[in-house]
Amino acid sequence: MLLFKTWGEECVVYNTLSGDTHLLPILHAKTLQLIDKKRDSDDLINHLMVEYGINRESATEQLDSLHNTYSSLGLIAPLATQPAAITV
Amino acid sequence: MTNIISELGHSNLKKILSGPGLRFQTGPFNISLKSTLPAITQHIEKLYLQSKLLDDTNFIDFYITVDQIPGMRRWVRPQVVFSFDGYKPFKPLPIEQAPASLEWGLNWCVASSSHQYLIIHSAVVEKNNHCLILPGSPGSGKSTLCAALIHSGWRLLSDEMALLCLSDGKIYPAPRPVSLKNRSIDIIKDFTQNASWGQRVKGTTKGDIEHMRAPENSIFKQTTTAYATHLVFPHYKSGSKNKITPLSKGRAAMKVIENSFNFNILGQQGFEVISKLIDNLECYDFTYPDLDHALSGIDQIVSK
Repeated sequence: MLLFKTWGEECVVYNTLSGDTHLLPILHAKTLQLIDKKRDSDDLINHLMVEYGINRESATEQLDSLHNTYSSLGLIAPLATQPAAITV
Repeated sequence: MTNIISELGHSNLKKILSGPGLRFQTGPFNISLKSTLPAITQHIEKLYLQSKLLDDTNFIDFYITVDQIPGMRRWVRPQVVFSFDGYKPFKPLPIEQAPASLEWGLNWCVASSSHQYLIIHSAVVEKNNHCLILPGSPGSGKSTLCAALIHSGWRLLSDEMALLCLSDGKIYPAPRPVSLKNRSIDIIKDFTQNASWGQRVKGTTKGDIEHMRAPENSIFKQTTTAYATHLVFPHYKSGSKNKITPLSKGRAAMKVIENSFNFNILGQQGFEVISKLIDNLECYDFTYPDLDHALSGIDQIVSK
């Protein structure tokens, strides 16, 4: 479970599983909260487009970058690689 | 019924320490201390003389013994060992370091078992309802600054640990002798003639140490809690100018967590109490070149 505390443009996030605490910019923390609430990729991309004022392609790149960052910090589980479909 | 340690007299104090143990209060903690060492009797007599005595009906938080190792070690490079409830958490030290062993051991007892508090490695002082938490890494000048402040009208709550109560968010005082090291000892002796001092303990891992008695007012008000109002990270830097830099609350929260002894044990509760604490604090980094500038800088911070 992630706990969030925001002051102005900064957010401190506490991960109850790892016991680690992280200081994130507010926009990153908002995206993380959406991921935590299990919003789908379209929701997340739309959120980034609005918050950053960027196009869909940039928002997708940003989301991938944030996924990698959150994953390396242990804040989210890494995306599982789907096995290739096997045709018999 | 004698109420405070100074009323016991030297012989009686020595007899109680060597026998059933001296039961006394320091802040929210009740302690039973046993020791046959003259240095410990002298340390208690000089530096804890205002502490309230307890009787047999009082619950004891820490049963402590500071005593010499028996056997050959009584004569060959004699050593002292600290024990808490019969457990010896530290290696023995040279017998000359007995007073330091007691103070370090008490710090360890509080930090390792008092999880009704979030414990921040910091000094805490209070004046006119301004309560300052002064966290400090080694070399920051925290203890020297604290010693100067408490001889300049500020009340000592602690020179080592802020005890932030989980249930009510207040800081609970635990005023004990202030530990000063090396150059800081002479700096404070020059600063004030009004302090009382214990024995100089030489050759510790931290250098020379001398303990300064907590001012009387701090002991009398040791049950008066306070809400923290300011968080100030002091940085002593010789030749610098006073520099007061507001610290964002996010960064302040991270630094408090880094300076907490038991945040990892308290977990979510610790996070919640720190969040509430920071909500109500003004937070600063403070660089200063000497004590006179430090005191004026602190006055400036609390008058903002």
